[in-house]
Amino acid sequence: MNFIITEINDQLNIDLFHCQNDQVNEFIHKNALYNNKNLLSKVYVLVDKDQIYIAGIISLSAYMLNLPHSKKYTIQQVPAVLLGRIGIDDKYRGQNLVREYLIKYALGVCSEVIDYIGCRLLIVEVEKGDSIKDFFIKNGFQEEKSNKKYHFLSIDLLYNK
Amino acid sequence: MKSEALDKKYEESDKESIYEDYEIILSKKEAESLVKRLENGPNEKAKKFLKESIDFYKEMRSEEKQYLKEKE
Repeated sequence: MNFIITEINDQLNIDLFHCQNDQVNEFIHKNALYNNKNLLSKVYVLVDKDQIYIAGIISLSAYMLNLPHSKKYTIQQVPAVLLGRIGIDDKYRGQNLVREYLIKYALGVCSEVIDYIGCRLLIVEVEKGDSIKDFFIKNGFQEEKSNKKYHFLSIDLLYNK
Repeated sequence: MKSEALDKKYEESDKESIYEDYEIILSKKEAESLVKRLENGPNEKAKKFLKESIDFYKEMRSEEKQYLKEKE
């Protein structure tokens, strides 16, 4: 494999990362190290071992999904992991790195978290029209809700390892 | 507040993204659908993908350890 995934750190060439999403660029350049250090979110980067470039980024944080109407089930909030910022550097686009590396890695992290903390879903926000939604649905994610701009998908983490 | 009124209130939010402080609040119908799914557990596609992902994650952690060791 030419890539490894590791926590973001200041030894990496963070400034060189640039993807098509300006919000993700701003996040990695301004907030990612701080957020990771202060446990506001955990930020993982896909690093090209040969070039020491950051090829991709994801962030994971805690989330509570609200179900205000579900009193009869005695569940009004479902604890979840939010798969937040996702980005692939322009130089590495078209290699399916989000699908082949980052999403799977995020689920692997979740598989460890659920051994210690109650957490039932992994949630992801997908912009409407983004073809990655098909990938998520094909792999067992289900749509919980959508609004004018985004779909909110989740996968159930209850899996007997 | 009745459930329909609550749903309407949540739908009226002008925020769209979680990163703009949009909060995902499920309607009665959406909540019932989710709770049913939670009772049944993950679907077959999800189980398969979770297994693949856990195997991949273990492999990547091992690669990372090896890489960091070599760098030292």
